[in-house]
Amino acid sequence: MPYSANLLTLMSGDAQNVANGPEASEDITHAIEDLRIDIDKQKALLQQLHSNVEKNFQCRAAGSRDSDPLVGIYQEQDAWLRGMIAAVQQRGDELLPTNHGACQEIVCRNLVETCKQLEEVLAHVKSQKQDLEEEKKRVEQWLLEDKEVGRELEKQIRLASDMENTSKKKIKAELGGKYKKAHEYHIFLMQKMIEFVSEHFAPPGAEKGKQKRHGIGALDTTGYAHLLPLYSFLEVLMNRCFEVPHDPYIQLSEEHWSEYVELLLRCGIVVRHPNDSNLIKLVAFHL
Amino acid sequence: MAEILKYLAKLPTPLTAVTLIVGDEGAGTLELANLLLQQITDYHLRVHTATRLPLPEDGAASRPNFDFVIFLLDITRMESFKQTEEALQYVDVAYFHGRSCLIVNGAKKPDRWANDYSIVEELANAYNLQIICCQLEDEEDGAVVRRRLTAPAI
Repeated sequence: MPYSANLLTLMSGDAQNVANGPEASEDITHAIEDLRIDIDKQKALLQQLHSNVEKNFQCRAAGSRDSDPLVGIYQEQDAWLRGMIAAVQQRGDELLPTNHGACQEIVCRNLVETCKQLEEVLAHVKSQKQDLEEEKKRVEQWLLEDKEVGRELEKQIRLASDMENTSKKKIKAELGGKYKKAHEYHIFLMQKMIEFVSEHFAPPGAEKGKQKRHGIGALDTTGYAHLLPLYSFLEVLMNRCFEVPHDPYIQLSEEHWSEYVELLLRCGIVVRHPNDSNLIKLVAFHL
Repeated sequence: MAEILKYLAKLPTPLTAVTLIVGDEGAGTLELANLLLQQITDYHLRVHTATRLPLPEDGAASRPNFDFVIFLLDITRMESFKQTEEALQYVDVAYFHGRSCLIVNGAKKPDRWANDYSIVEELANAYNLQIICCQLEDEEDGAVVRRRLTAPAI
């Protein structure tokens, strides 16, 4: 039978003209059925042989330490070879199926099936490729749009940062002006305070010469020279109160004239530490 | 006695070769497995790896029949040699005629060998194993090992 011709017709996908006539195709189908039955039989035989092997075949480890493993290995090899020789002598070349026509037919059919599958795969891959190309185009479009958006955003950021810079400068100038005014006012207030305090609460020894604001000079030798003038005392208290608000107390020492301390305490400007009479603090008027 | 690696414990699958690589960690087991799987063969090649024998019992049901066992040892470490020696105790005799071989990794660096080559040779002779010396990191060596292991007849 012209199987090679069949193969060609099959390969071209013309499945109707598989064989030369209805009789031939029937023969082939019968042969294939027979072959299938043969294969099933062989499988069953194989299973049976394997179960026999499992039952009767004891496996042994080669490497028992007390004996030479080579002896066991060679014995085993000997047994295997003998078994194989016996098997070959008994069975001959029965293993292969003898109906070549049927075999060829099966191979042809398998080939055709494989071809069909491959064609399907090809079509699928082609469509996938198309899809991917479309997606690529889409993604490229997106990329372009994104780039455009990015450029716009950068522009806006630049504008915004420019604006920010200018507004920053404005605020800085404003704050600077305010700070300056406040500082001037502070100096003015301090000066007023110094004038007032020096005039009305002059340190001992300065009473005679009211022009001497610092209270040092006329009675240097009387022992009052080391005393802190009241405005300095107040300044120390205020600075302490604002710089170290968690511990505003100051230690009284000799330079703090006790009269001043008494005055401030009576007027309620300073208070003593509840546990230590040597410590005083300014009353927190600003809170 | 622990479970011995039995030959033909299950029916072999047609057109499939199942290989078991036994070698401790660091001997290059995975490299060798990847190397083998790169080779294009007429049959399906499946590679299993194990660091030591006997194999654990819990996976026994899903484990196929191993057609070939590769013992892999790193000659630069004494431990690797000991583990291989240990593993050889748990292998069926049937594997030792033509169904196993010994691959010696690190053979190209004799200055770093942990033990003498004669010991390895003795071990291989005692179990009728064929030795393949190589340096698995070496590309050329890898290709040679791959070809030798997957050739139709070793």
